[in-house]
Amino acid sequence: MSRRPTPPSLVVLKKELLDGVRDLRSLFSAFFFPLLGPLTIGLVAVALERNTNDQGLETLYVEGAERAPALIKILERDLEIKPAPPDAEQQLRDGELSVLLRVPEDFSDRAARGEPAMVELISDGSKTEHRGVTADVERGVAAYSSELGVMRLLARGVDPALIHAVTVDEIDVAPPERLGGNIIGAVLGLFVIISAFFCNMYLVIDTTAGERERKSMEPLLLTAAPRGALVLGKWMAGLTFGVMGVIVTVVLTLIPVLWLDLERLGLRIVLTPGVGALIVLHLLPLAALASAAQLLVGSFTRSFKEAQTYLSLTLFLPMIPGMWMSIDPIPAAPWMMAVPALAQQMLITRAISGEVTPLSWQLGAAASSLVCAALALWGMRWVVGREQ
Amino acid sequence: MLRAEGLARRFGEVVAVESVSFEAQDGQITGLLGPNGAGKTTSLRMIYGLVRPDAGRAWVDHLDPTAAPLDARRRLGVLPDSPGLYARLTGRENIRYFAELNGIANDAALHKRIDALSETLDLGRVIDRPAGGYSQGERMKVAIARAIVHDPPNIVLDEPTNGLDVMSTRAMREAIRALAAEGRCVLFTSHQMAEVGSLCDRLVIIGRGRVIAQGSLAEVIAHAGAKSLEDAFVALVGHHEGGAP
Repeated sequence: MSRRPTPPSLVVLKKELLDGVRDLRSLFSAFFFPLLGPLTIGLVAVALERNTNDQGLETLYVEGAERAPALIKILERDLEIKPAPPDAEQQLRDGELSVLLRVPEDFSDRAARGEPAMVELISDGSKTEHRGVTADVERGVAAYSSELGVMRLLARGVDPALIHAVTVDEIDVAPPERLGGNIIGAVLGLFVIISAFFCNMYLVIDTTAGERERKSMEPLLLTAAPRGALVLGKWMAGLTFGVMGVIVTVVLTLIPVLWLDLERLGLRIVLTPGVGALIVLHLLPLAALASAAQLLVGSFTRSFKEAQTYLSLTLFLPMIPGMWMSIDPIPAAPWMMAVPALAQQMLITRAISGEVTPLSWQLGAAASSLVCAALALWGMRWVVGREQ
Repeated sequence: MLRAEGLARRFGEVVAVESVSFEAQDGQITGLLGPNGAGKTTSLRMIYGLVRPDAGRAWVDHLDPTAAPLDARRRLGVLPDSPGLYARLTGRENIRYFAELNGIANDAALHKRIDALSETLDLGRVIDRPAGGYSQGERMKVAIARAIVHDPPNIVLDEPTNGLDVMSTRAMREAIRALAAEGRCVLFTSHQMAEVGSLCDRLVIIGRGRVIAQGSLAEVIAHAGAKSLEDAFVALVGHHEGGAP
């Protein structure tokens, strides 16, 4: 019952996976990070949901409400109006009161005479949580002022349209799912792409710099296994960890998204299990590149610490498109498919926004990553093959 | 059979090996001696095919390791000067990994071969424990088992008794004698003159990248006009280090 020898690349793959699974540090980094992404997205979604659900009106304290009943009526649409306590201003300074509106005694007299009437809005500008209230008050006063102005012009026989020289009409054509998709897509894309790079990082370090540090590299190179097979086996092991990280990230993100009713938040994102599978598929070529590129960097280093430093720095490169996209979403263009990580970021954002991406773009994105992966593997083969 | 023919290699301005020629025969134990930095390790690396010689050739049996590295390595078992094990794998897994990399199927025959090696090297108690917890002696013995698990006809041991206690050193010497008695070519380096004197059939002394003397123990001692191997070594190497012809 003699068995055929296993191909050396598979022998290396099997050993590196066994070694990686037994290494707590590798396992921790591989499975801690994928938890982080869905957790962040879940928390953001929960916070958004709570904000939206919070229908209770914020409170505005008013001194002399009886002097401006028409204004108060307008403000009552957005705010809960409460009479100010006697020492309101002091309480506000002490932080016990949110925002205070003071209607002076001469308000109605001046208004009746057609002179500019004044109200005082008192708040603590350092408290950002009260900005919403002050904005509501300013908007309400402006509406009242404009209403009063229009009536005065009409009373004098002047067309009120004359004073509106220019007006702005905002038209937002984005379908609701694209708005939500852009943000969640950028964040999810960022996390998924990083997990392709991060989840295999310690395994890659261990199979390159670790191999040198524990002085097992020379015995390994003295076996009859071809150098290319050693590189291939290590690459496949890194790829396995990277892909597992991507799958875990996507699956764990599906849970809060399916569980929370994001549509109610106006975040209509399309993240069904099918879209999740598509995202994993888009990420496979990038995970291939991640494993190859990190092996190449790792094989230049001589110690675990050195490898950790350089690989953490290279981790920033694939993060750039995602961070850029979450700050300033830009429209996708065909050239972007030639840039690994940026291409995947675009594909994920579009998939989540429910946009259909041409197949040629998808294939182009896969091809650019695979070509770069092949170049990195070729480079790694050269590094391993050169003299020690 | 391992053979070096006029091997030479420089790294930049530094001449690591100037001209090294020797032959290690099958069924014999050949000792390679020399002070640190004499060019032993570089010479060995040229025989392994890890370093390409500037001039000269190396032979592993009938194979040139530069031209046919994989076939040459299959016929070669090497214990490098500081062999690292995989700490999270057991001794058995470490040995099996290298056997499979050398093209041996992971079957019952391999299992038996590892058991036999474990018996010879007295590893029975530790072979199924993670290598991270091994003593220096246990590490060395597993590294030797790993180097010879694919049954190579040529074996190179770079300071195999380094850091071993008395009992382990004895066991190692027995194992080296047994390997040669099986008809294998054993080449080994050591800094312990008594060990070299008692084990080796032939000696090769290297200094400053050249072979200074070679032959049987008696021949080398006679060549140096000394009473013991240690005196001969000091006389030959010191003479050479002094730079006089």
